[in-house]
Amino acid sequence: MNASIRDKNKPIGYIIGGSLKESLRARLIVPPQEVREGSFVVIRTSDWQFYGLITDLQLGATDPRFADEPSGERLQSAISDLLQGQTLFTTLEVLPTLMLERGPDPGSPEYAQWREKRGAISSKTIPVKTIPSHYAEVLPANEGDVAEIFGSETSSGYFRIGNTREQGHPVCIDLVKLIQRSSGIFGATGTGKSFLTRIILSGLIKEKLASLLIFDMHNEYGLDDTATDTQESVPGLKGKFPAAVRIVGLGRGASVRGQAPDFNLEFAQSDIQPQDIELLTHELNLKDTTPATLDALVSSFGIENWYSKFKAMKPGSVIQGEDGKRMPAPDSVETWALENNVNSLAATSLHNKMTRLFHLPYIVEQPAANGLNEIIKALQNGQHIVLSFGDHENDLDYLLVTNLLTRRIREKWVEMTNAHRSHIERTAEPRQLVVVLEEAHKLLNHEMARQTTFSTIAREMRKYGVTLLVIDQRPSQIYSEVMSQLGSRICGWLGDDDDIHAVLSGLAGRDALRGMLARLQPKEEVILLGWGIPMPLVIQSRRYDNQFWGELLGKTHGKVNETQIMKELGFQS
Amino acid sequence: MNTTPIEIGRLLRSSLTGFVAGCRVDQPSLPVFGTLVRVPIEDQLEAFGLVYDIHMDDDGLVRQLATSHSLPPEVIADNRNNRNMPVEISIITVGRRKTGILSHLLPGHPPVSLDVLYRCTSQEVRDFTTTGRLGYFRHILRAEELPVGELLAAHLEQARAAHRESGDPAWFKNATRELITLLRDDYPTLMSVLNALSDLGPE
Amino acid sequence: MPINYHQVQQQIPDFCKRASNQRQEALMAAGLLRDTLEKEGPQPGKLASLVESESATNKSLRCAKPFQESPACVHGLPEITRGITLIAADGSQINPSRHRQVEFSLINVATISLQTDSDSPSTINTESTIMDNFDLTAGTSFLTENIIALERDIRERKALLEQASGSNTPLLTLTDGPLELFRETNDAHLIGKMLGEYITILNGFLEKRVITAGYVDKPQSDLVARLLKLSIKNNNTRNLQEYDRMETIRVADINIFNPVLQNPGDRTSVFAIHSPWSKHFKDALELCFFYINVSQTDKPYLARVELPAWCASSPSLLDTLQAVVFQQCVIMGSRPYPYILHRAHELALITFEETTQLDSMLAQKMLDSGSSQEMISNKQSAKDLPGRGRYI
Repeated sequence: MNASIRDKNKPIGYIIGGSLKESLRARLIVPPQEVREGSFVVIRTSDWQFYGLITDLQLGATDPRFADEPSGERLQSAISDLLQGQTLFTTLEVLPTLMLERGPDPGSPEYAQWREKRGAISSKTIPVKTIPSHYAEVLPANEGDVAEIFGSETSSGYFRIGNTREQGHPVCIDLVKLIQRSSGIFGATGTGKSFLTRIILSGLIKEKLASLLIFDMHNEYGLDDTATDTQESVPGLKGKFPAAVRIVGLGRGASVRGQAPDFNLEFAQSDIQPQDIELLTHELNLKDTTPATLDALVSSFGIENWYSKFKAMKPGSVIQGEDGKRMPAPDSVETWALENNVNSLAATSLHNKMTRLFHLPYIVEQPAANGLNEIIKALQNGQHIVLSFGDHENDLDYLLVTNLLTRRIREKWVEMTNAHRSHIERTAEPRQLVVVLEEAHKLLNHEMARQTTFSTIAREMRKYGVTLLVIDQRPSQIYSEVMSQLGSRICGWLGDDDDIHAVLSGLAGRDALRGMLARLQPKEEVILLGWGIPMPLVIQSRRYDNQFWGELLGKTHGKVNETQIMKELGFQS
Repeated sequence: MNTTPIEIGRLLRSSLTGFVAGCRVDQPSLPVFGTLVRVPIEDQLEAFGLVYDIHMDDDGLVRQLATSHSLPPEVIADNRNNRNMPVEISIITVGRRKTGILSHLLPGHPPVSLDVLYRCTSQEVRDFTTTGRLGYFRHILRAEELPVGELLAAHLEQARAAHRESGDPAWFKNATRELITLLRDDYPTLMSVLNALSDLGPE
Repeated sequence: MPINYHQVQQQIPDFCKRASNQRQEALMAAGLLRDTLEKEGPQPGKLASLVESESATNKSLRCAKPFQESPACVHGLPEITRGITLIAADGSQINPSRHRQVEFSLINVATISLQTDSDSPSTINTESTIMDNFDLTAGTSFLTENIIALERDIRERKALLEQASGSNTPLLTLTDGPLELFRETNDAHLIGKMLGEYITILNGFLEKRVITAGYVDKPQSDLVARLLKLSIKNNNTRNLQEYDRMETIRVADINIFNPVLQNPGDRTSVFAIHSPWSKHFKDALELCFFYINVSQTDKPYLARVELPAWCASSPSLLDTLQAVVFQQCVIMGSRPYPYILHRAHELALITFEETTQLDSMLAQKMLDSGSSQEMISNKQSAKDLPGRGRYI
C-alpha cells in the first residue's frame, strides 16, 4: 500500500469505546451526512490497522438540553457553531472485522528492527482478535485499503463485482474462493438478481476456473433476452462466449426462444429411480404408501425396468374370466398388485398420479442421443452448459430434471474423483463444477433438501469439486443446514425479516449487519457476506451493460503494463 | 491599548485566592471589570488577577447629601477626593509569575497590605492568556459566587482586543471552545457564559 | 438589666406631664416676651442703657444688648456671594486619664478649605499634638479636661487664621460653637494667658479682614429673653406678679424668634453679648450674634451665629455670612447644618480605636526605651472585659 494514497484520506472520527462483542464506537468529526451505514472504514493505530464497517450512526449530546433547545437563535452564530461542535456529536458504530499488522512507520529506525524480527513473513489480514486503542483514527477506506482486503482486478482469479458505495473504489471477489464452497445470490424480485448472476457467471466463464451447469428455468441466461423492466435487449452468455457455452434443450426437437439448441437432452426410462418419484411427492400429491409401492415395483422388475413396466400397465383393465366374472387383466396394475401383495388401490393411485410423468416427452424408451454423456463430456472439457427448459418450465419438470441430471453428474464426479485419487497418474482430476440453481428453495426447502442431491452437494461435494451457486428470492425457505454451508453470500435488498435472518445465519456480527441489509437500496446495492468474502461490505454492483462486456472481454491477462500499475497506485509518471 | 504598567491602587486585604485593593474615585487609571492586573509580592514573585468587582461604600453623610436638592460642585469634589472612602477593587487570583515564568497556579503566599496593584500591559495580557492551555479559567469557574458569565465576557473582550492587536484573532475562538469543554456538563452556567459572550458581538 | 424599667415606667407619665406644662408655659412666656420685643425694640438705645444701669448693680449680668439697630428687625436672605473661600476648623481631644497605661492627652485639630462654585478638590489639614501634664500649665496645675478644651478652642481658631493666609478670594472662617472663649477653671493666671492668646488671634482676623464666626446648633441660650425680662422689670406699668412668674420660667431665645423668622434664611438683627467676660472683647472684637432660620421648609429651625463686632458692623460682610451659612446648611438637606463644619468634625474626630492604638504605641515606645511599663487601671481592665457574647 502506498503512503501517499493513504494520506489523501482525512480522518472522519476517532475511537472512543466499544468492545469486540458489541462493535466499536467512534466520535464522528465530519458532518454525519458524509458517512453512511455500511461504509468500509480503516482504523489506524501505531502498529496495527483495523478494518471495519459502519453499522450505525447515533446522534448524541452531552446534555439533552443542548439538543432540545436550538442555540442558534440565542447565541452568536460563531459561538453557536462552537457549542454544537462540542456538545452535539454523532457516534459511529463500527463493526471491526479484520486487522493487519503494519509495523512502525517505514521511515523510522524501529521499522528495520520490526522487519528483521518478522523475517520474510508478509503482512496478512487476519480476523479481528483485539481492538484498537482509544483515539485511534477512523478513516474511510481508500482504494488501496479496498484492494488490500478484496484484492485487485489485475490479479488472476479476482473479479470486480462492483464498487464501494461512497468513493467508488473497485471491489473484487475472489472467484476461486467463491466456487470453493457453495455460494448464494439472494434478493427480492426485481432487485437485479439475475443481472448480478449474469455478471458473476460471465466472470467465472471468463476466468475459466470452473465449468458451469446452469439450470435455466426461465430461459434467461443462455440466449439474448429482453429486460422485464426496461424492455432492452440483454445479451446472453452464449452470444458472448459462443465456443464455451453449450445450450441444451429439454426433449427431442426442443427449441429455445425459437432457436435450436446445441443439442437436446432426453432421459431414458431406465434412468428414473424410485427416489426421483418420491421427490415429487408434493408436486404429484403422492400418498404415504408410495415408497412401499415403488419398492415392490423395483423388486418385481428391477431398478432399470420398473418405470417402463409400470408405465405399460393399464390400471382398471379387466378381462372376462372363465367363470364369466370380470377380473383384472394380466397387464393391469391391479393384477400386479395382487400378485405382489401390494395394496391395489395404492398402486392404481400411484399409477394415475404418475401419468403426468408418463406423458413427459423427454423421458423416452431409448434416447436418440446420449445427451447426458454429452453434457458430462462438455463439462469435463471446460465448457459450460445452459440447460434450457424451453416449454417445460413448470415445477415438475424443474424438480425432476435438475435432480435427475445432477444425480447423474454427481455420481460421475464422485467416480472420477475416486479414480483420480486411486490412480493419480493415469486419470485426470475432474474439472471443478458449479451447479447454478435458480429458484433454489424449490429443491432445497425443508422437506426436499434431505431427499435431493443438492443438499448432498452443498454439504459434501466440495471435496469432489462440485459446488452450488444458489439463486433465490426467498432464502428463508431454504433448509437452514444448506444455508449454513453457503460460503459466500451476495445479497440484494430483501423485504422480509425471515429472509434477512436466513441470509445472515451462521455469520458473526449478525445484529449489526441486519440493519445494513434491511436498508440496502432496492436496486444495484448489494452486500457481500460470508466465508468467501474477507469482510462484509455493501457495494454498488456493476451494471450488466455494454461497458461491462467491453471491460470484461477487453481485459488482457498475462504481463501487466507497469506504467498502468504505477498510475493506479497514484504515481503519475 | 496600554503598553506601560499603570499603577492602580494599593492592597487593602488579601488571601491566596483573591485580594482587594483601594484606589481613589477620581483616579484616571481606574481599572474596569475584567481587567487583568498584577501585584508584585516580593522579588521574583507576582500575583495575577482579574477585577471582578468595583464598589464604593456609602455612609450617613453621603446618604444625607444624596437627598439634597442641589449639590454644589465643590461638595461633590470634596466628597470624592477627600473623604476617606476608597473605591474597593476586588480581584480573583488567577495565576502568578515566579522567577519570570508565568503559570496559572496560585502564588505561594498572598500579597500584603499596601502592595501596589498594576494594570497589565497588552503584552502581559497576551503572555498570560497564552501560557498553558487557558488553565486559569478553572479559578474563575470555581468561584460560584462571582458573576462568572459577565466576568468571562469582560475579560475575553479585553483579551480578544489584545490578541487581535498582535494578529491572533483565533485566540477568542479557542478560549470559547475551551470554556465549552470545561462547562459542557453544566448547562446553566455554560449558557449563561455563552449568552454573555454573544452579547459582546463580533469584533 | 441596668435600668429598672418597672420604676421608670411609673415615673414616665408624671415626667411627661410636667415637661409638657413647662413647654406650654415657656411658649406663653415667649409670646409675652415677643410682645415686649415688638414694643420696646424700636428703642434700642433705651434697652442698651437699661443693660448698662443693671450691670452696675449686677456684676454677673449676662444678657443680649442691642447692636446698632432695632432688635425687632428681621433680615431676609441676601444674594449669595459667589467664589469665596470657606474654611472650617474643628477639634477633638483625648482627655487625660489616669486609668490608661500611659497618661497623656492629645489635641487634634482639622481644617478644611473649600472654594465655592468650583470643582477643585477641598484642601484638608490635620494637626495632632500629644501633651502631658506639664504642657500648657507649666507645672502650676494638672491638665484638666477644661484646660484641654480651652486649648483646643484656641488651636482651632489659630489653625483657621493660619489657613486663611495668602488667599486672594474673600474668606470666611467658621467653627462649631460660640466665638466667646468661656470655660470654668480655677487657674486664673492660665486663663488670663490663654485669653490673651485668643484675643491676639481674633485681632489677626481683624487685620486680615477675614470673617470668622461660630455656629451654634440648636441653641438654648436665653440672652435676648433676659434682655426683655429686664425691660419688663423696669417698666413702670409692670405687673409685678407677672414679672416674678416670668423670672421662674426659662425661655430660650429661639422660642421668641421662631415665629418671627418665618422664611428660609431669615435672620434677626445683631445683638452684642453683655457678660462678665465680655469686657475682654472690646470695640471691634466685641462679641455679637444673630439667629438665623436655616430650615428650607416652612417649619423654622434656628441656629445662632456668633461674630466679632467689626464683621457685624459691615452690612456686606454680614450678608455674606448670612448667605454662606444658609447655603452650607442647604447642602445637608433635611437636617440643616453647615456641610463644611460636618466635614471638619469628621476629619478631626478621634475614634476609640485610634485612642487605643495611640495608647499602645506610646506604651510600646516607653517599654523599648527602658521604662517600666505602667499597667492600665484595674477599673479600666474590668471595663474592657468582653461583653456577653452570642453563640452563633
